[in-house]
Amino acid sequence: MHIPDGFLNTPVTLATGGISAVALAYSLKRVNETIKPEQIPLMGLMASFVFMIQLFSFPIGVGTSIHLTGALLISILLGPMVGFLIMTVSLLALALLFQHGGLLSLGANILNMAGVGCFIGYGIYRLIPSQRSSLIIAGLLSGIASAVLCSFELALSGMLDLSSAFKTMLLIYGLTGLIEGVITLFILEFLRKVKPELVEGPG
Amino acid sequence: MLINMKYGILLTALLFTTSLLGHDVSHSILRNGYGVEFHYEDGNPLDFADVQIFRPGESEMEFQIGMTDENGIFMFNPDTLGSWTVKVSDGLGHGKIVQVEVGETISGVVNEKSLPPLQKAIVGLGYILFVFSIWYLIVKRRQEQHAHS
Repeated sequence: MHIPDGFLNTPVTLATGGISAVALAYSLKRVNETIKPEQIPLMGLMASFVFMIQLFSFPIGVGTSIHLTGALLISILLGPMVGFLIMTVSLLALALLFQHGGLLSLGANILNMAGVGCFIGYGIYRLIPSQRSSLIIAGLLSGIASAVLCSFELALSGMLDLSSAFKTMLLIYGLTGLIEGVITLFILEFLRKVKPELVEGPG
Repeated sequence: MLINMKYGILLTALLFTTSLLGHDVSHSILRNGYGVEFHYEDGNPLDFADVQIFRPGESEMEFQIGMTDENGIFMFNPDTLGSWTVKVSDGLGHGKIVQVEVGETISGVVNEKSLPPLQKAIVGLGYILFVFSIWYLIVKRRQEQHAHS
């Protein structure tokens, strides 16, 4: 879902860039007000983890490969705003260094992956009382929300025919979200056993 | 009367033949042209992906549209020299825009310069370490200033 440059038209680029810039400025301001220096190494470690899982994709047997975002996990461990900042740093690294997604379309990519994963995914996770169900539903719904957002951005730019590609997008990214939810569940279960104070953090 | 009828049949046959010739399709097998091969990071081909080709200096009107084959390859035969734009999209938000330089002669395979995955990981982790180290120093300094004041 790393949209390259040249795929989005000017209005979509400006709109998504504007929304992402506002969310980034707000998150940075809020995080900076409360952050302690000793929290930053853990954030750096989580950013490295997110970067690595986004760098490598794996096939899912339906003719395409996917990669996880890690947005749900870092939002639960460190809070959605810190998660959003970490995701932005990682997406910027992928775009700047390896052309995984364009620089002009960075706003759209931040919105689709960081915004949806950290805010919508985390919001759904908090709404549902049962942790197991909530993680799986949050993963699935944030995957679907990312697909809807990405499809509309591309369709508005004339790069996607919604009638033919929308169902595939929903299927692939819904499945990706579901896998993300299940893997997040396993990681949290593991962390709860070995380092429970990490799971009971700000998220 | 019989002669007129013969001329009529001959004329109709001629017209029918001309009409058939107009719908005939001839072909040539070309052995030149440019091909672009697309694949994902994990090496899997970008198969059956939508492709748009634009002439040099053109960004609206396509020269050709089509689809990559099952190996992720798309072939085209440019008719002018210059930098041609090849846009590929798999319909899932992945894609790329490639500039293909078309010169007087075709000069073999041009591979994209890309770092191996391990080097990419090291470079990326170095960048992230740098960003968070700077942030740490800023926050630490601010905390010290607060403590002094």
